[in-house]
Amino acid sequence: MTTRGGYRHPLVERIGYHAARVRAWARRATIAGLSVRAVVWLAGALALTLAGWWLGPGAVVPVAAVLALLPAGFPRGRAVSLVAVLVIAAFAADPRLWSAIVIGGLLYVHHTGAALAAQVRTDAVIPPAVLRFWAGRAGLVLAVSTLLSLAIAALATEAPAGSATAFLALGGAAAAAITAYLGWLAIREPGD
Amino acid sequence: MTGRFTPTAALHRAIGIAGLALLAGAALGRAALVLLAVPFAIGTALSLAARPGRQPVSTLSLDEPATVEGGPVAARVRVESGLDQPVLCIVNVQLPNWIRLQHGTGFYAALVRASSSVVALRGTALRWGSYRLGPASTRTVACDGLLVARSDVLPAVPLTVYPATGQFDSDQGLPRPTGISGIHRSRRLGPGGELADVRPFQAGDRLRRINWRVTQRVGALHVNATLAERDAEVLLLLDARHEAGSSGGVAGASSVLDATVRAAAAIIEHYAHQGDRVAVLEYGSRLRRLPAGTGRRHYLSALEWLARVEPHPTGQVLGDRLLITGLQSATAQVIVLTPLLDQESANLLATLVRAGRAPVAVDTLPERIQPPITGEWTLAGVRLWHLERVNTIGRLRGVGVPVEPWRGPGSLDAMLRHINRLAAGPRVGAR
Repeated sequence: MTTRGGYRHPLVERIGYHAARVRAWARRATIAGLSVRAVVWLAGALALTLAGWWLGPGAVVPVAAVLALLPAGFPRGRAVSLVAVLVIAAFAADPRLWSAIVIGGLLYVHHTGAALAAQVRTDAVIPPAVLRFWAGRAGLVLAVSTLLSLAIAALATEAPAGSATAFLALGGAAAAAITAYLGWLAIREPGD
Repeated sequence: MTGRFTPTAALHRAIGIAGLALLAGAALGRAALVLLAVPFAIGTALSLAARPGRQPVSTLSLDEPATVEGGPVAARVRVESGLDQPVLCIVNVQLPNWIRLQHGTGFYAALVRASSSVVALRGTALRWGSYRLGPASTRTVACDGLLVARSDVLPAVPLTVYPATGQFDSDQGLPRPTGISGIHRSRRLGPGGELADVRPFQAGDRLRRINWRVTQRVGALHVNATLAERDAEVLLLLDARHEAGSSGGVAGASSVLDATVRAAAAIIEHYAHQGDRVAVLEYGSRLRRLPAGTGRRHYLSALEWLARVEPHPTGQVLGDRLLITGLQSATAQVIVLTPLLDQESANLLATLVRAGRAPVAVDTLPERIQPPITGEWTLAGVRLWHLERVNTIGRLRGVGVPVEPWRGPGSLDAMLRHINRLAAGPRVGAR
């Protein structure tokens, strides 16, 4: 592909340019920055795998591993939401009460990890205190939500059959109320 | 600067996922789907429960505004929080090319708690120069990444990197000492330590100068006459019209300006510390001048001045008259630091000789310098140029201008010896 006089084919030039960029990125990247992305990828891949387990492990594992690379690579984009919607859609096809607690937890780790990854670059110097604080907050949320989920699961298993209409009405009202509450938290002024 | 916190995409995503899972659970009548929303609802509510009112205030500062090549650079971004809950602060500092950080590339994350936090940047200055560290920006992220405040831009701070001084140690005197006191032996009689003559006593002579041995032998009072010790003025003329070669910093290869500035720093340090007056002149499209001075304070001023030397690739040079006028002191020893890259450098030295000066030329062209673009005829062209340059140097030596490459310690000794011999003889100059 090369010619005399030091001239190189444009394709070779371009490949060399991108290879140099990748090498430069690899030199700049920090372990902490990459660890955050790795957590996003792992949590997303596991959530997709567990939610789509009914498709068969041979089919779901490679797809989940590849799809989870998107939010890990582009945590600021819509890839994080896309993975979450795919998890909910796959899980809705074969919902199981107890695995929902695990998948919900993995989805939350995926979401909060992406929230951190969206703010820090892979070449940022991240002190361990930041990661410890973030992991502690996620652990607290998971602990509280696990307790609440266990209570909801126990109530759901003991609920009388044939109350689908009442569940729909109650669930819809709860969904609207919680979403509205979270929306108000988001837009309220400090001190309200 | 303060600003409001605004929701991030993560907050919209958390509310959307929680709402979607709840609605799907309600619509399909499956409690399992509701459980997917629980961590999002709990996490978002916990995070937003303590929403910060204003963003922290940040400042960028340098520990020391000046350092030397290869020396440490320490800067810090102080973030004053004043908030009840910890927030994440993302700091991005724009760095000059020749400042290498120990960790990272200028992006830092810091957890800022109730009082304040400091993000410390430690690095090394690789090359002399006058830089600006920054500007820096700080972005505050609160509520586990759900809220973010707009970036706070911190103004850049000036940083001066002094050239590293190679050790120059000359034991040669300067030919025309004209000051009041110093270390150079003058040709005039006066107070000093070097014996010049023994003469009969005159009224006004100090008693401690009486030479008792000669007095006893001759039978009349005689005193020792000594040579006066004076300081001299050195004028360094920096040929900064061209930059050639690639600079590798303090530990790498030297460019022309690197060699020029470092050699100048070493010469100034030597003469200023031994009590001579040193002036510096930048020769290019302008005539930037550092007035003559001596001592450590002047040496530091000169380093500051040298850090601002820039190449003048315009091709314009000063006229002879303006150059000679700019030299001012007629008795100063002129040392020209030049790479002798073109004919103008030789013309500069010739102008000085015609003006009756005895310039010393220090060749600052680094060894093994190569042109930036190589081709089929590069080798032949470079060899021709080298031959022409050797001829020019030979012609300069023929008219009495010593040219010596800068090789560090003692480089100028041989030239100063030559200059001293020339100064002892009659001077010829155009009027």
